[in-house]
Amino acid sequence: MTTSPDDMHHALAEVRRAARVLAAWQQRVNEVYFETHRALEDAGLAHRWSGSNRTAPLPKPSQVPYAPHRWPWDLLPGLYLASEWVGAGPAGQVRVYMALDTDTAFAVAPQQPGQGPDPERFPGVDDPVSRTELWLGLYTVTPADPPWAEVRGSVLADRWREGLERELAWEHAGWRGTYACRCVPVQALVSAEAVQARLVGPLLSWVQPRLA
Amino acid sequence: MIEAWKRHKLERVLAPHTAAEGGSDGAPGVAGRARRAALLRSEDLLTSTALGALAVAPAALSWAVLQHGAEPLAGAAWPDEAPAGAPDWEFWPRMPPDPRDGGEWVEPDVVLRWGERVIVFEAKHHGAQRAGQWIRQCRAVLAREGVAAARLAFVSLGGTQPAADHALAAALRAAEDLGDVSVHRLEWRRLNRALSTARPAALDPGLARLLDDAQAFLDAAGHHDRRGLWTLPAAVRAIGAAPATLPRAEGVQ
Repeated sequence: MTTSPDDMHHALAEVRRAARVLAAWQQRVNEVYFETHRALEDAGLAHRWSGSNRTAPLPKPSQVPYAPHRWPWDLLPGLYLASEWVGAGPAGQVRVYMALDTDTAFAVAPQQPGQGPDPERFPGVDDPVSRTELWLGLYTVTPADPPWAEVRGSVLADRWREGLERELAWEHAGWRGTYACRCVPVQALVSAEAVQARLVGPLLSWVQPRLA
Repeated sequence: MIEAWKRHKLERVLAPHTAAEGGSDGAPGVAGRARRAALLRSEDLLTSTALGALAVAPAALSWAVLQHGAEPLAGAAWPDEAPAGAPDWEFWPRMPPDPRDGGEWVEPDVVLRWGERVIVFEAKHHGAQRAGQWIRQCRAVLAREGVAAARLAFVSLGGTQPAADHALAAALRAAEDLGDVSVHRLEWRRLNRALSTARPAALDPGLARLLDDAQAFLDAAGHHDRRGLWTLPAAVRAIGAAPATLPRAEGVQ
């Protein structure tokens, strides 16, 4: 297969544009995470960790990262960011998980062997399965500091969407608590007031009574 | 900024820069850029520009801006209604310390007398707020004004540290005679935002220009919402769409 220099020129212009758009997006994602972080820290929670859920850490500088088996998504960690904050309330530990899913179609796109979802076979960006969402996971836990990955996996197994409708009680290996979640459509965050009304305000109204 | 000039605050910023300000092409030279950066780092200029605009704005608008921007840290919430009477803004008043505190004279950034209320502003730009300074200022102002502590509000303007602000406020209210002081936080960015959100649609053009200038200075000092999520559409538009056809790449056959 060959292509023309004009086609290459055009495709590379698209890549340059995509990189700029992604940088502008990430700048603004940083702002909303920072504002949320400040509000939660102010309420009494402490940041526990941040990372990307869909990508591996970059290899050490001395390692060749460009092997064919490497997920291309590893080099785009900003596409799915997550953070967690933890605090202590009278009824147990309070944990807030916030994840930004830049493209929900990631989860349904056909896979390329060993390379994750195939970017050429994603549903269209205007397909209903392709959305940009902020997810909030709201947990209470007692006693504090369980093996969280194990407990969270157990709490969420098959039931995580139920937390959208009601607060669930859960129990796992001696730990117990509650779980609820919220989904914030990012297209609704159209102003500083909307960020407060749709994201920060509801988050604090859940957190503050549990820390009081 | 005029307040800073009147009270000889500008010299402290400008004195270290004596080299030629401009380059030969008319663009700011190294010294000019350093001077500009120093100006933007000055908490005194920021204070006088932002609160100076409120000092000349109609009282109802000034109160609305403060109410929109201030967040409670401890004690009574910011009242909905502005106090009766005209506000009297005083920038960098110097006053003797309370005898319990001793030491140097006290200089809050702003003392605002408004009816029965007295509001003290302590501004920080690149530094952190300190409870000891708050306590000295509140005691000195109470002594000078002769008001009850419940009539005194303290505003931490900038220099906020989410994990520490409530502890600072608690330390202030734990100090002798200061238990009834209400403590508030006003972030520069929230003040900038409030200058937009509290502004009525119809505004005298001269006043609008003054508020615009204050916001421009806050923007330049980094206290802006320019990268809020809601600015993404404008950013994407500014980046522009890739054209459907492009001129052939140079040097490619």
